[in-house]
Parts: sequence; structure tokens; C-alpha cells
Amino acid sequence: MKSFVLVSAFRVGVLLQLTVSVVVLAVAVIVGPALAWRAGMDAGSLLIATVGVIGHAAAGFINAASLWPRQVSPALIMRTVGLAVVLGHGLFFGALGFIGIGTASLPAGVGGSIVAVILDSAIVLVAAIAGALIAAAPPRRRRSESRRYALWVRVIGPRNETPSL
Amino acid sequence: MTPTYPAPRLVLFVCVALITIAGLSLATGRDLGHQMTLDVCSTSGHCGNFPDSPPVCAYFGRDRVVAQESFIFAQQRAGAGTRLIQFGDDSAELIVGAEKGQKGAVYSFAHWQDAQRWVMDEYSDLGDVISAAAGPTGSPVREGYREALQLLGLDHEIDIEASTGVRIFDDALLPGATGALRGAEGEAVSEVTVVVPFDAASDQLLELTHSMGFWDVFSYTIELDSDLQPVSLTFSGPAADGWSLQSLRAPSEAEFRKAEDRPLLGAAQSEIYIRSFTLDLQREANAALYRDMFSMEPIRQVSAAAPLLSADERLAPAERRRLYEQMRERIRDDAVALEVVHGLTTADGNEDAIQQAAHGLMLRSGPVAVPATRLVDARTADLSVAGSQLDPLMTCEPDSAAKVSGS
Repeated sequence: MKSFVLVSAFRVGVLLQLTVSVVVLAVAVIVGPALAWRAGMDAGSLLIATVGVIGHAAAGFINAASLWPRQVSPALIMRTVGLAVVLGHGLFFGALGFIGIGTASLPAGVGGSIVAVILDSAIVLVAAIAGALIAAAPPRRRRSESRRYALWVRVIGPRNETPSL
Repeated sequence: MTPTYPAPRLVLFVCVALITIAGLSLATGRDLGHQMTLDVCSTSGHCGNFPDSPPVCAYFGRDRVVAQESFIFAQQRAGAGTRLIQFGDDSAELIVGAEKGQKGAVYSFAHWQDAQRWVMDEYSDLGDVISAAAGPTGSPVREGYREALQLLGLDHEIDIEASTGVRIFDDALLPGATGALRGAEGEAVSEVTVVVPFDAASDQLLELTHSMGFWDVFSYTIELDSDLQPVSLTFSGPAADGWSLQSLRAPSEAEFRKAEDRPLLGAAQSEIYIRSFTLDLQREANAALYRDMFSMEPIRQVSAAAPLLSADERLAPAERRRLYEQMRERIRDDAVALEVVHGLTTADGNEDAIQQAAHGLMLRSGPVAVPATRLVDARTADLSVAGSQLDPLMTCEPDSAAKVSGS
């Protein structure tokens, strides 16, 4: 029977996405208000949100990068990365968002806040999938010459490794 | 079989380390974030809703003690529907939702820094940037994060409760008079303030207000103890030009009349001068006169009873004149006089802004929509001391401030 996701990659993906979620929130809590003071509310929020979305895309990229060369089916990679970001983002921010909905008097109202939580999850899902797709493109230079690939091997592992079956 | 995914240990280690560090930062980092925001605004030289420290001086003498507790150092809009007031004794109050027809709340803080932090957490839009961490659409992550901290016992700030309520009313015995009383519904009233335009006052009352050097409008504030016994009575008002303590000590009919035509002091410099005179109602002579002039009256708009100036409405002119003359004498002989000068910090210095700011300085529990002001100068005098003059209050040495803070 075929697996819905690649379990070992999925675990790592959840960990990566959760890391991005927690780190971005910590940055927003500590630096966010000062940033908003300096740059303005809209610019500060946009910057934090952009960092978050790019972070989830990068996590998706790292998660998928070593799967593409192993002849793993694209659908399996997408499902693995997609479910990982849904859990890594949703378990953290979704939980906080729903706690917030239950406790605060929100300007957007409960319905609007639920929609916002779902939309945020959808946006980071798209970003992570985009990151996974970008990872499908091989490095342009020969691997032996590429500094990026050397770093890649240190962090992710070699791309031409034969997948174990 | 599906392929396995050998995750490098470095990735796992980095992720676990980052989650640990970030998690600790989330649990304890709000103080750091608060401090960073203050540093940024201090560096830029403009902290907007987050005011500078008021001067904490050594308060010796009856006049200084009264001034310490009563004078407003700064007032500003801290967030939507809120007004933050700093007092001269380092304390602060946040008035929330105090508009006519609404039940407002007063949050009291012993130190203005606590109020500042609470304002940032509760009412500043700055914190909304935290929600952007989840994405651009504004999920209520900020609220959820704070609630989670509270559930984990890591946040005590959210537990702060209103110290009392505020209710706004108008036409309090005198048409056009507006007021505010402190005390939540069902609780005893602890303070009432009524602002009376000169148009609503009798000629005899105008004579009294002119003798105190007020301009166009004045207020009276009565502080009550838990048994509804009066503790103090304060008359306040924008300062008319050309007045001095001598006008109170040696008045003449001609001088009273002339005061009506005097200009508003400080208007040309966009400054607000507020004079106030506080009588201790625990002294029998003051209390006896208070009982003749004021009486407990029902205020239907706010479903409460509070002491109001009833003499102007209920007594004959001759009787009023006698009482008000006695009141002038009590003020002359026993009051603590305070004259504060405020500058507008945000609004243009037009007459409307000055009058609104003055209204806010008189009615400190009142409407939240008043221009932001900051103290420029303050002088006090204990009128029970023969020959006393208004002496500067703002002459605090840094050393004395440190001693007071440390004591």
C-alpha cells in the first residue's frame, strides 16, 4: 500500500516548519513593536509576515531538496511538504489563533478571525509548496565546483544518494 | 516500500536548539521587546503615547503633598478610547471608555512605567505586529499568545483589573454643567467632579470664581471616603491673566468685575494655565461650610447620588453671597493653591484645543478625547501660612529624586 506521505521526511518537515513558526513569533514579539514604531505599523507587519512566509518557503525547500533526486514522485513530495507545513504552522499558529478567538474582543469578529487563520495557513501552504518546487531545479554549476553544493552536502546530504527502498 | 529520508543530525540539532531558544524568548521576551521599543522611541526623541518620567521630587510641606497627589504631569490618548494620565507622585491612571452614556473604567498604577507597559500590551496597535508572524491576514495570534502565557502562569499583567468605574453626566443642577463621578455601579462614589461654565453660574458664584482667578469656566471636585464622608474640596479652572494671590487676599468689588474681561493666561503661547485650590474637609470649619453649600443629590443619568453644589440653585442671592464670601475666606486662609502650566504636545495651539485640554485637566475622569498635554511648570502655596507665595515645584535636584525613589 502506498503511503500518503513520506513519513521520515514528513517528520523532519514538521520540525522545520515548527521551528520557523516559533522563531518568527519570537522575533515578532521581541523586535516587532520596536520595528513597527520605527517603520510604521503596516511596514512592520508586512516585513514580519514576509519573513514568516519566506521562512516557511525555505523550510519547504529544505524539506523537499533531497527528495527530488531520489525519484520520489512529485505528488508524494507535495503531500509530504504540504502536510508538514499545515501541521508545523497550523499546530502552532492555528492553536494560538483559536485561543485568541476564544478570549479577545476582536475587531474582525469571530468569523473574520477564523477566516484569517485559514487564509494564513493557505498562504504559508502555497509558500512551502513553492519552496518545494524551487528545490526541484538542480544547481546550475557542476556540483564539484559549487560552494553552495558543498554547503548543501554538509547541511542536507548529497543529492545523488540512492534512495533506500 | 517507501524511501526513507535520512535527516542530517545537524538539521535536527539546529531545529531543536532554535525552538528551545525561541520558546524561552517567547516566555520571557516581552520585557525585552518593551524595552527595545522604549529605546527606539527614546532614540528618536519622540515617545508619543509613552511618556517620559515625571519629576519625582522631595515633597515637604502640606502644599507639596497635596500637589504631589493631585497635579497632572501629562495626559495623552494611549489608545482608542483611552486616556493615560501621569501624576506628580510617579503614579498613573488609565481612563478607558469614559464617554457620556458609557460606563468607563479607571486602571490605577503606582508607577507610570507599569502603566506604560500595560498600555503597550493592551491598547497599543504596536502589539498587532505580533499577529503578522502567522501571516499577512491578521490572525488573532497576539491575543492567543498572551492568553497562552497567562494559562502557563507566565503573564501577570493581564490580571490587572479596573480600580474603579467612571460615569459621565451633564446638567448637574446647573444647566450646561458636565461632570464625572468615580465608583462603579453598585459601589460607593469616591469622587465627583463638575465643570461649570460661567454662563451657568450665578453672579455671586462668579464673584467667588473671579476671586480665584478663573477664566470662563471652573470645576469643583469632591473626594469622598468609603463612608461617603467628604475628604477634600478642590476648585479648579483655567487661569485668567492679571491675577495674583493678593487678589484673593485683598479683593475689591471693582477687581472682581474686572476679572471677567481679562484674557486667558498663556493662550498666546499655546499654554494652558490651570489654577486650583484644595480645602481639607476634615477640618471642621471647612466641613461646616461645605455642608451648607453642597448636598447629596440624585443624578438620574448615572443612577447614583453624589454631592453637588446646591447653594447656587437652592438659596436666595443674599444667602449665596454670604456663603460664597465665607468660602473665599476659607480658601484664602486654609487652602493649598496650585498653579500648573501645560503645553500641548500634539495638537495645534488653537483656542479650541486649549479649552479642550483645560477641560481635560479639570475633569480628569472625564471624556478621553482631549488633546495631549505635558507639564511645563508648577507652583504651589500653602495659604494657611501667612504671606505665603506660589513657589516653584519643579526645582527638584536629581539627588533628591534618587533619594525619594530609593526610600
